[in-house]
Amino acid sequence: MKKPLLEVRGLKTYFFTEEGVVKAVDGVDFDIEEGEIFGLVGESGCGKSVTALSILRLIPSPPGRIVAGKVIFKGKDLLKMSDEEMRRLRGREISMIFQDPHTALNPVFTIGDQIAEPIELHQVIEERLISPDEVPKKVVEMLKLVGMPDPEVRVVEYPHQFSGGMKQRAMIAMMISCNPSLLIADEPTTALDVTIQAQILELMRELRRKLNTSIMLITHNLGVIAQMCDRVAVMYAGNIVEEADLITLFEDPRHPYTQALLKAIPKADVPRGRLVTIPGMVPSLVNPPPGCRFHPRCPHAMEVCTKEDPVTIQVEKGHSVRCHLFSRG
Amino acid sequence: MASARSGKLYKDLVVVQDLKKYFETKKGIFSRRVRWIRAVDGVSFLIKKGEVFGLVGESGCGKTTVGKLILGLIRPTAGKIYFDGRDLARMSEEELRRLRRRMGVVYQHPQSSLNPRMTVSQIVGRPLEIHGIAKGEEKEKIVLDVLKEVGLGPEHLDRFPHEFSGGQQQRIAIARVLVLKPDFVVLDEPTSALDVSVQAHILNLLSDLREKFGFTYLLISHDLNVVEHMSDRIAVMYVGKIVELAPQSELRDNPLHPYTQSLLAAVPIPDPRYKPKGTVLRGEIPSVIDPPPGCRFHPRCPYAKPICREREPEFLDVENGHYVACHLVGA
Repeated sequence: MKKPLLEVRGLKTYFFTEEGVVKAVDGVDFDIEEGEIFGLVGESGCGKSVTALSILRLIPSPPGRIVAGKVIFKGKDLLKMSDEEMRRLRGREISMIFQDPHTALNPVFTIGDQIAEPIELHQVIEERLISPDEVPKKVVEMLKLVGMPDPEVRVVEYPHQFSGGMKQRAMIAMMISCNPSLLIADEPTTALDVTIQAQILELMRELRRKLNTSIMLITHNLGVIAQMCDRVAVMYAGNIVEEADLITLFEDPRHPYTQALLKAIPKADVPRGRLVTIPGMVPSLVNPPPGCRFHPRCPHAMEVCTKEDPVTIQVEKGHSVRCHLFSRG
Repeated sequence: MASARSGKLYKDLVVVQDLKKYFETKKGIFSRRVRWIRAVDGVSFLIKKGEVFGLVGESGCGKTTVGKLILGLIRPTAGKIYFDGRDLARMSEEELRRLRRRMGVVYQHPQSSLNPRMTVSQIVGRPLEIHGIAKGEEKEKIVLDVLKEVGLGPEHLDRFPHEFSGGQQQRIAIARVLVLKPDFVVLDEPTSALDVSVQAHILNLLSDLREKFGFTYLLISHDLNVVEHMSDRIAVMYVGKIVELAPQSELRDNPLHPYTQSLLAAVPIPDPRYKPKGTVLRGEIPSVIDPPPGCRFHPRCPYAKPICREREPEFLDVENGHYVACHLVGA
């Protein structure tokens, strides 16, 4: 069997703060296959962005530290690489798109200069794939690929001259300029209007089709997940509580949290219906509840849930759940 | 319609006629050329007593400005607003202030709409003092009752906003509205800053309160899922204009304006088997400073004809309260 492109095993990323140790990511496992769009969904503070930053080793330290786990990318453990090796890999093998294109771009450099930077660094200096004279042509080519109108004109413009959607296109052009195997997109469309969001999502699907790039899509929006992903993992309070292929996750969710989350979305076809709510609040990650972290809010909580941390059980091929309801029998 | 005795011109709670709001802007620090941001450029609609009227649109379409105009927080450039039959433009600041007792507003970010230096009891009690309704023990009793309605208790009275989660802060903001028992509440993106599970709590709470106290809501949001879930009638705004207005189910099942159709198609539906209808809309939202001539949607419209570039379409009732502003509909 083919090895997955990325294997994350037992990843734990903690933040050591004055209030105590924040266990933002507390033992996360997942794989991303070549050419697939893998969704990571969860509410604010569940650890989805920290998981992404951990893969790229971009956790601000101090206070953060990856305390355990493996991140195996193309057979190598990224957590054991030197800083120099990591730097060569970022932007070339794995790149990341952030939520807010307004802050991710440098306001004092032209869009062209910013897209040229990873190309010069990785493809001209490190790999000598292309000559320095070819860089401008390559930049325009990238802008064309992401559907930027008038790329020859826009390449010398500054970020403030771009709309939000166009900035995100420029970000994507920069991030795919070295043809990475894995693109991590952290809430790539959350700051955009819905008609612009549709354009960016279509662009990402097209890139996967054309370049066979694997995409890790992080979002809180279950609608975006449903329209984009092949496989989905649901995160809650630092753990992945359920993972399945897209259809199974939406039509046969097993974890009580996934079930409640899906029912909480307002739907047009049931107007005025009461939405299912989850009682209580997201727990503190400094002092998470003992046992299953979801038990104080879970309608099916049993005694064992308050004491023992559940293990991840495979309920069907490719469908795993971290819940005591499935651990017996 | 008009009743001479009560002095009321209209029976509907809110009537908006050809409302316009332009803001002045200068291009560059040294430029003397004044330009106008046409935030709201001729919108008409009415809100019936007891209904939830949804106003949906993308950023910069003018939906928030419409809300502020109805609340009398800013004065319109042109057009009329009648609240409970009375013309807002003819009222003095003092009369407006008194009228605002009957109106409430909940904003998107409770972090910035709640004073960080005031306790919950002060925040929620303040409207009672301002309008001279109650003070002292009586005020505290009202505050406590209202907090109970929104799911908070006496233990929260002396706490400050930062001690609460986003969802709880929004409950405090709702309590502050509820304390005056208004007739009309503007909800401006009330759940856009909240997580899905928290959003569900707040939307349920807003529905319960409406049923219990008979509020009329103007729900402003960019989130079509939320607007469709909550509203009786929905108006779709695009670059300062309402392009379509229809009852909720009619808008969903039979959208007539090409912009509404593409907006509905662009919303990601949380159902993996759902295949979006239509194509992804090309181009970007035009500027409200120099909106395109004719129909403002024509540069992005897949069906645009020569007339769309030349003449602005009229906003017409095509059937039973389904209004649309498009040259291609009903022609």
